[in-house]
Amino acid sequence: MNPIKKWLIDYSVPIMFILIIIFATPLAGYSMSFLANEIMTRMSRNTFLVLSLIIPVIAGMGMNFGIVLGAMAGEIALILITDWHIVGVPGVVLAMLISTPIAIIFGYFSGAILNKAKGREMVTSLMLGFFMNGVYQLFVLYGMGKVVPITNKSILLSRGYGIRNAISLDGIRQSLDNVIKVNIWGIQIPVMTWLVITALCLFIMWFRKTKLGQDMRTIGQDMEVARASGIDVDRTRIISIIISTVLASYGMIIYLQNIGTLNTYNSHEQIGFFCIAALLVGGASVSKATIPNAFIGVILFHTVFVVSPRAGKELIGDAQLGEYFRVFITYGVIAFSLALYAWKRKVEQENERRSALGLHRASLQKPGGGGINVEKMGN
Amino acid sequence: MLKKWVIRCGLVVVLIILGVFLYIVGKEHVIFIDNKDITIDGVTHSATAAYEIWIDGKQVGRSALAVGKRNSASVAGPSHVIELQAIQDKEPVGEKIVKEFRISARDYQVILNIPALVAGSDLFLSAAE
Amino acid sequence: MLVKIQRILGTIGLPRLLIALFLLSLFVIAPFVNVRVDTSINDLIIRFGMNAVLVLSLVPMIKSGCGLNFGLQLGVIAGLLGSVISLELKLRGFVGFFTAISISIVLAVILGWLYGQLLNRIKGDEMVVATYVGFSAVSFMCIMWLILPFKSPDMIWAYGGQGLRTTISTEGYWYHILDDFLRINLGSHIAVPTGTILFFALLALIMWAFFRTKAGTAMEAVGSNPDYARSCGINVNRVRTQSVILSTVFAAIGIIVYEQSFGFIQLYNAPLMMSFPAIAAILLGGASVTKVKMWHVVVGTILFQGILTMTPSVINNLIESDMSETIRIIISNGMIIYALTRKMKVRT
Repeated sequence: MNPIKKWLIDYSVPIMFILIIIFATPLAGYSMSFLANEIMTRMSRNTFLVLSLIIPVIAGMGMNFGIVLGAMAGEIALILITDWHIVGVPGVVLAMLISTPIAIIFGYFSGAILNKAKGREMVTSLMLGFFMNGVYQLFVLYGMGKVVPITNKSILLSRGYGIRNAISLDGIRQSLDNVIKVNIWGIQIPVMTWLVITALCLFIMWFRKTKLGQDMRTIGQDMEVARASGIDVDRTRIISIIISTVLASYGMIIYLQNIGTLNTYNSHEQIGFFCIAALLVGGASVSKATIPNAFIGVILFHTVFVVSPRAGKELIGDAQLGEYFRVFITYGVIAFSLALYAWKRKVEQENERRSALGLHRASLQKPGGGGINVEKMGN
Repeated sequence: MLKKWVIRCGLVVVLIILGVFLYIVGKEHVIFIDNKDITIDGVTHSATAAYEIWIDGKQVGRSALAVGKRNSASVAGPSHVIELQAIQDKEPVGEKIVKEFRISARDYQVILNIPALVAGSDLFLSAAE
Repeated sequence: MLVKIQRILGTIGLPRLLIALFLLSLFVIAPFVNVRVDTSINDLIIRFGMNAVLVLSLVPMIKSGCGLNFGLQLGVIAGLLGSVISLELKLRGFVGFFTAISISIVLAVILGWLYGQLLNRIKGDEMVVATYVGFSAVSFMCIMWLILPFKSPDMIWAYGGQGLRTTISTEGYWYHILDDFLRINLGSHIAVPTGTILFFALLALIMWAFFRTKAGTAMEAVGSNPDYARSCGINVNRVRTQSVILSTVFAAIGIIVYEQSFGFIQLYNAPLMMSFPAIAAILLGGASVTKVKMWHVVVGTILFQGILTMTPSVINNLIESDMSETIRIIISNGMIIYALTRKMKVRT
């Protein structure tokens, strides 16, 4: 296929988004400085979460819809530190500390189930997210206050148990962001948060080079080859999900400390979809995701997110339309990217099969009898 | 093999200690500052003057706390410094009183009584309900 | 003896057994917590009628190997469009009802064909793509409901004067049109919506008969062994598309049956999650990602709707709190996860 055409298809989603941005931004009429600040805030808020999706992709698990579980672990930790009145950066760090064991348990559970559904990881993790939402509700809406002692009455519902729908996180509000804040060209930059994000990027780059990381890549390319090389496929897959879930819990804490309010039952629902959509918009696919994908994706996705309501209003006179458009774009991007990926993969498999047949036929015609050396194929 | 387990247990212990440290350092406390009469051990300390109050260098309230009134301040962590300056007819009177005090990590709300502190009693801080 | 019990357990499946026992226990507890058993049974029958056709619509795609139809929303959208168009034309009674169905069928065939083309190009990853195609379609329709030029005052916003309302009542048009048909009254609290049940039975019969035809058997062949089917000369892609169209059409009819019983046409985000309860129901009835029988539909719908009906009333009175939503989430999604983690024959 023509390489330009191939490039266009591979990156069709980011290109579409850039076109939408070019079209909609002037329409929305926001000032440059407002947009820049808004994007910077959203980037510092969301990038960590999106980065946490990369490792499962390397291990061949596809888009980990189960980061919702990591988000829930982070939220439970935040509820606890709010109950204990821990504030500031110690509060944020303590929340991360507490969320880690919870996220590890969730990740292990997730990974074990995904191992039983090999080939259908994405749907399963999607359903797992919904399912755990129910378990989370059971714990937070009924367990907290009754089984888990909560002393801070202001976060409980009036009936005495169960956490309120929205908890103010004033104690830790922006505490990570504000540690070092720098103003460049009128844009507020939360330096500390970015240092944390950079640390994660370095971690991911380092991790890729470790034996564990290499094992995951092998599994991602071909599970059978990995198994034949002596890699414990199941265990490694679970580890990749655990890492992703733990990172997601930290990412959720970073996200929430920026927003300052916890929507106890809704915050995590949308997170999964938005982060996956962002990663896909950045040019990632089910089998390949890089750090630039995450950054580009967050910028593109969130820009569209910010400008579409106003653009919709200017275009049709109804801001509600822009809102619906936003949601449609989110789901549509995921559907389109996944479909494109699946279609491409099928085409690749067909080509491989055809070339194998071709080689076979060609070799049959050789005087030596023919047949092909099976071991040399498929690598 | 054993070494791996020892290192892991050690790591967990370090993290738990870190957690406890963060808990104490990050715990928010609400200090209710009372300029009211208080009776401790049978001895009554009466509130006589209005005071300007600083906690950890920041002033509490915009003006002096009058007799019989209560103000509040939020702090984080265990150790703090309070400074008191008596005010009469809008003029400072006498020396500033400086006192360091600690709040237990178990207490969310505490009551600090000014007369008791001024009188030199060690029981000027008590836990609220 | 033990082996026989084990075999029966294997066929029924442990989760199914647990849920059936759970449901039974709810019925037993009911009278003790001031919940009338006869009203509950009445509710259950009504809900069965409302939902059964939607669950039925999943059968063709499972049989043809396309998996669980997470894109059910496409058929629902066809049905919704048919309904609102029928209301716009101010058609009432059976005429309105069947016009809605007819228009929906046409739309469903078109949508189903498109959907089938998509699924054929992505064999093996259908489920997650279907979910998002379904979500996208519902979101897209949200935009459409706002700007399509409908005029009927029963349907549009009072203010603005433009754009359909979120919930539109079918009262006065074809509310309970099937429910009331040949309604049987048993005692003061049970009124069987005979028409709806008969309609479902008719549709189930049609589907059952279809699978006895040549086209139907071809569909089953494609589902169980596509390579063998291809070698028999069957056009696998065409049969799969047929199954998708069939599923979409039945889903469209299903939502209209639902509306006439429920009394409302729900637009915008209401259909978003509609595929999941239907899928959970059929899995509960005994189906798997690749195998399904007609009675799975009936058993599954009864069990699932039974849980939905009984849990709120009984558990709420028992524990004085509203756990029904949470329990519903856990059970329905748990069933789907259970089904997804069963070992599956590898399809190429």
